[in-house]
Amino acid sequence: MMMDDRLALLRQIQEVEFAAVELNLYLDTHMEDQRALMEYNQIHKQLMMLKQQYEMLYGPLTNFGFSPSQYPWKWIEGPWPWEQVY
Amino acid sequence: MNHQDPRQHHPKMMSPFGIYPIPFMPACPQYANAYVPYQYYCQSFPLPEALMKGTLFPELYKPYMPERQLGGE
Amino acid sequence: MWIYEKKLQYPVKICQPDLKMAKYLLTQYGGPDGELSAALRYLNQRYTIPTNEAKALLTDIGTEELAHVEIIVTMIYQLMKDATVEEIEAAGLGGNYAIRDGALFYTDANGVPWTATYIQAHGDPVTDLHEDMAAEEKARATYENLLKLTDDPGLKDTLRFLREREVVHFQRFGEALRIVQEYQQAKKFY
Repeated sequence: MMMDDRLALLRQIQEVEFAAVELNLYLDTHMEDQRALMEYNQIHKQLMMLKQQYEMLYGPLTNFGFSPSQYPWKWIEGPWPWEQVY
Repeated sequence: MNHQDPRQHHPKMMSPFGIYPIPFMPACPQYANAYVPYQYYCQSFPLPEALMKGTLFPELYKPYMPERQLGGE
Repeated sequence: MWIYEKKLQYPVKICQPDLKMAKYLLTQYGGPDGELSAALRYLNQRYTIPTNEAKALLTDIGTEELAHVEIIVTMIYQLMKDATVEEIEAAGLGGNYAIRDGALFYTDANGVPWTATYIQAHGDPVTDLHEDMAAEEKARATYENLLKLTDDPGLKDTLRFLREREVVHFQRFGEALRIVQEYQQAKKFY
């Protein structure tokens, strides 16, 4: 089912982005940790790829010029995050 | 990926590297100060597990155990 | 500048409507130790905290707290979906209904509106970081109370995630405090 595919990809994005948040907060207090920084940059690449893939299939995750939109303007399309039923 | 030492890029930056590395606990603890042990990152959970647990770091994973009551016994 | 991302940080799976639980969860929306208080506290303190480490941390944790506000609202929204007036009244939300139908508002579980007196800023970095660490502990304890108030496995799963975030944030603020202490020790400060 198309919905399941979308949620599976979204879940993967949530997982990778969560690792990015965790490494980001860690690096805020450990600016000299080279290994954590390397992992952060790796996660960044992975996250950008996943988001691009998601946005091509299901529309933009971000607005204000951070993602392109197909016609018609896809940003307003639901479900919005609080409406999503799993 | 950039492996360069960031120190080289900001030789005149107001602070940073002077106080680093920060020890696990202070070398000279002072009275009337609170100290949190400084984390040193060695291992991480696999990403799906990290999201489920709410942290990437096994050493910071402290799940809630409702059975354990404080102050008893 | 902030950029909104059209997704939750953590998925919310609700098994069935539960208006009482929706009411209790309001405390983490507009209550004293709720996610809104957290976001506003950190994003306000960052302007006067002296170290770059703490400026980054307050910005980043403050931003993550806004994502947690959205998770809390999603839980409340889905727990209240399709509720009848009778059910709303039975759950003790009749007062809210009288004023604003099903709309949300920044209040605690008892309907007390959010107030800026829930948060603090002193400009002193040691004082402000202690305030932040205390706030994380208060929110952690609140999540434990909420976990005891529900049996819904989906709800519990999300509440456990949010509770663990408080633990991690406490650690980071603690490290930011250690950094301030090291600067003060090194007399490089002021």
